[in-house]
Amino acid sequence: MGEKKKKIVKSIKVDVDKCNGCRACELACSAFHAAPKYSSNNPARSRIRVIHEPLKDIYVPVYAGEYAKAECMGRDKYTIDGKEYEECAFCRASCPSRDLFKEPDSGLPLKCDMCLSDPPLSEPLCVQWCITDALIYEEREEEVEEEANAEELKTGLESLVNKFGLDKIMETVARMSISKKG
Amino acid sequence: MMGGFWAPELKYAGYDKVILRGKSASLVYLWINNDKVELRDASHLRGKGAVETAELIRQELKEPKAQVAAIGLAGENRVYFASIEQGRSSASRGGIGAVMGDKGLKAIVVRGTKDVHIARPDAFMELCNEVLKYIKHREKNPIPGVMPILAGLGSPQEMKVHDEKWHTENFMWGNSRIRRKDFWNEEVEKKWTGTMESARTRLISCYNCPMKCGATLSVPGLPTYMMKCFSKLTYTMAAMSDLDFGLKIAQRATEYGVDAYSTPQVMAFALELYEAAILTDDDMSGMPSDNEGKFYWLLDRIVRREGIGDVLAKGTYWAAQQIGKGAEAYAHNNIKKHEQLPLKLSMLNPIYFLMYSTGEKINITQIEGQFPQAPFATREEREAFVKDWVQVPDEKFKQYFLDWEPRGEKSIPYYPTVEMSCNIVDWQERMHYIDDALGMCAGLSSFPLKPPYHMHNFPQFISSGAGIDMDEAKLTQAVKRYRTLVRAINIRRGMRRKDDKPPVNHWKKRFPDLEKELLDAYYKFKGWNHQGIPTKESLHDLGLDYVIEDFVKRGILADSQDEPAKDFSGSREN
Repeated sequence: MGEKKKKIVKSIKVDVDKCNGCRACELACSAFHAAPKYSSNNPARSRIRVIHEPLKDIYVPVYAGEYAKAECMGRDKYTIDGKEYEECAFCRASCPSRDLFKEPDSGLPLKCDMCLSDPPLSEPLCVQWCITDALIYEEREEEVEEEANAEELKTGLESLVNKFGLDKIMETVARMSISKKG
Repeated sequence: MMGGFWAPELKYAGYDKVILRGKSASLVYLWINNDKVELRDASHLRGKGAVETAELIRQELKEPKAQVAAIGLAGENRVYFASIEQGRSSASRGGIGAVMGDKGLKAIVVRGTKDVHIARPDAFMELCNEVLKYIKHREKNPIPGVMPILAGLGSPQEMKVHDEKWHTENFMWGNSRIRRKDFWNEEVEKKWTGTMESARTRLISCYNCPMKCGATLSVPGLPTYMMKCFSKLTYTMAAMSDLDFGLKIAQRATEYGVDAYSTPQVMAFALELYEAAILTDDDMSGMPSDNEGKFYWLLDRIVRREGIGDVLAKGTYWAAQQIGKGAEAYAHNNIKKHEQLPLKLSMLNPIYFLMYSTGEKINITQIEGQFPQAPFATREEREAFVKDWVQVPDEKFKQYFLDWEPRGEKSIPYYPTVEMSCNIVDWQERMHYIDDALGMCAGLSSFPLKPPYHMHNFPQFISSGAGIDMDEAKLTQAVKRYRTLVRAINIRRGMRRKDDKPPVNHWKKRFPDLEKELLDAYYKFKGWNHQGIPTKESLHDLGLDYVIEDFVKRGILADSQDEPAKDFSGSREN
């Protein structure tokens, strides 16, 4: 067993039932990330977007997550409380299938950084501006093991070996270790 | 005026206003996509509902985020009280939808992804945070002593509040005729609450607003639509029916795109004329026999302008002129030819007399707001009210209110005095014109008592936000100029003192001498002559010399003096 370490996990709880679709979160986010700070606002640059279809009563605030190079092969639909949601309504990826989470002029992907700043904010600005409490910020301490799980590592490596061959993998690992030490 | 998401989208596309000139030969819609602007064919949208049109356009453009302001059949057919609809919001009064229809414009569609820049971000954000803090405070602390719908912020919270005792028992039913003093009881409350709760799927906001004035309504069997404010009750009360009917017919009316104040009254007016045998079976041929069916039938005739509907589509004033046979007396609830809120009261209120008479936005809610509608019962309550009344532009307003008694010497109609009434009306109206000039929603400034945006922080918002050097004196002057220009336009169209009056039966107890004195004093206060025409001096002070020139050329003002060059009292009404 590896050494246990404490880390702070930041999360935002999203309550879609409380969202009233005002999109103040979008405005606040884009203003916070403007340079200089608050000098402009533009929902198209926001790292949170409210996926909304008013006539279907669908309001889902979604945070920008990882960049995805390719769009999904298939898209599922979910019916919750009689309302049909596209899978994309819950997806945080900045991906080619939609215009969310991309800088409108450069197309570069955007990602939520929880309003990282110095001095730090008490909570991300979108949460502060959401007075209906559809967005709630939570920090919790978790104890995590630092050591990687050997089984997981093996499975991952095997799939790479299957794809590229053992020689190529070993070659790459050797090159990486030289450049790291170099 | 409108709220929703359309105006901010336009700003993000890089524009402040859209000005439409001329007419299109065929039905088109305007598509503004940032810098790309085009007129597109809308012939396939002819006759479609306003909400329906918005969905169809978003699909056809593959732009789910585009915002659409559209007209329905009423606008296409130039019904005098047609609206422009946009989600939960509409621009209704004055028949603006008919103007769009006349131009052959079905919709204006906007998508914007540009930045909106702030001149002095730090100062601006500080103001925003103060306002947000104040809104939260006001939400937790409703104003005691006033009706629940006037105690909070936003437009009247009709979608949220179930207690309709005040509206149903104080406002008039039918064609603004019948007061039902014992209408509201437990049974009605239970039934109507049930109706609203089963139809209402969510309370919704406009862009970047903490209020939830609107609602999404899904009545079983009907398409979903959105609503806010008093449209909730106008159809119900005009038809002497219940809320279930009101919400159902409002769905159809929203798709047709009609004003929810005028339309129900026009229909109730038609039925009164029919009962009085002024309209005949021939006029009403095909009308169903059940009460609610009659309203659906009339609504359809009006927006299609078929038969009697073609006459009614002009509103009660013009319809009565055309029908004749004494119909004029039934068009009794109008100011300047527009149907008003159905209210009939006892004692003349000098503040409201001036607001009803001289307001040019044709609706009392578009001029009232900052000063309580009625005095509070005790001095203690009044003292408590003025304690945190930071919004007053001058301390004297606090004293006016402190001394205002429900009865006795310092009560209506002679208190507030003529001079005080002029000041109170001017302040209240000024706030509405500031909102209009800035594109602000009245729901967080001019309409509710003690709002977060007011005379003292607006100049700071303008300075730090737009970088325009502004203070209270400059803003007051700018708004006076704007308000005077609106007056000048209507004067040019023939409006005079004779038009500045409330519905004749609005108050039972009238005071002709006092009313004359009020109007004289207010005109003078505003810089208008005794006919209500802005004087040369006041136009010049406001930098409106070109209006003087125009007025002299048209003979509205004489070359040498501020009196009308000729008598307009008998001029055509247009």
